[in-house]
Amino acid sequence: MKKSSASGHTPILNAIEAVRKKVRWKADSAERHLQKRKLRGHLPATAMIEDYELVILSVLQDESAQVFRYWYNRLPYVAMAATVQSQTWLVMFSYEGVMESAFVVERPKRYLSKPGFEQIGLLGEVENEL
Amino acid sequence: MNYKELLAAYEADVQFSDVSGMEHLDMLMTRSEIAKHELHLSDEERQRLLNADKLLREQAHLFYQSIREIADLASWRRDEDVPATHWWWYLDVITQMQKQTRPVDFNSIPAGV
Repeated sequence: MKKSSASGHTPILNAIEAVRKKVRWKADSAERHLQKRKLRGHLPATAMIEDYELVILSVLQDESAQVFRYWYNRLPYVAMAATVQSQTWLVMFSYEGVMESAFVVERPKRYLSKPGFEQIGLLGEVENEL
Repeated sequence: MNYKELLAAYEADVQFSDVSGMEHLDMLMTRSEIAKHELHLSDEERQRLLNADKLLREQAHLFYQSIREIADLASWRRDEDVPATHWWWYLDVITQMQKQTRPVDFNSIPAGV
C-alpha cells in the first residue's frame, strides 16, 4: 500500500461530495447489496435502503475515516474505511460518485494493504489540506 | 469471528455472485480462515461447508466475472501467498477449466457441418 502526497486530492473530495449529495448505485444493484447486508447481519432484517445509505453517509462524514485511492485498470476509485457500531465499514465508489460497494470488511488491515490501495490519510486531514 | 461465524458468513456470501468483486475477495479470505479450522468442524458443519463450496464452484465464472471488473485476482493470490490446495483463490483457473470441459451443444452446430 502506497502513501499518497497531498496533491491531487480534489477529485477525491469531489467524489466524496457527490456521494454525500446523492448515493448513486449501479443499475439494479442497491437491493442486492442491501439483501446481502441483512443476511450477513450487518443491518437489521427490517432495514431499508435508506438505513443502508445512512451508514454509508456516516462513513463519509466521519473525520477519522481512512481515505484510500484504489486503482484498477487505470481507473481510480475512492475507498473509505470507518468504524460504525464496532465494525469496520468499507465504502467504495468511482470518481463519478457511483457506488461500487459498501460492506463490513472483516480483516481491514490485511484487506487494505492489498494491491491497488493507496493510503491518502484521514478524512479530516484530507479535507483541511485544501 | 470464530469459525462458526466464519462459516455462516461464507454461506451467506456464496449466495451473492452479483455484488461487487471487492466483496468476493473478502469472501475468499473468509474461506481461507475457515480452512484453518476445518478439523474442528462437526459433521453437520462440514456438510454445510461442502454445500457452500459447491455453490461457489458451480458459479465460479460469475464470481470471477465480478472480481475481474474491479481487481486482479492473481495479484491478490500472490499477495496472500495462497497454497495450491486453496482452490477458491483460483476462480480464474476454474472458470477456464469449466469452459474447456463444457459439453458440446450439438444444436448450435449448423446443419451439414
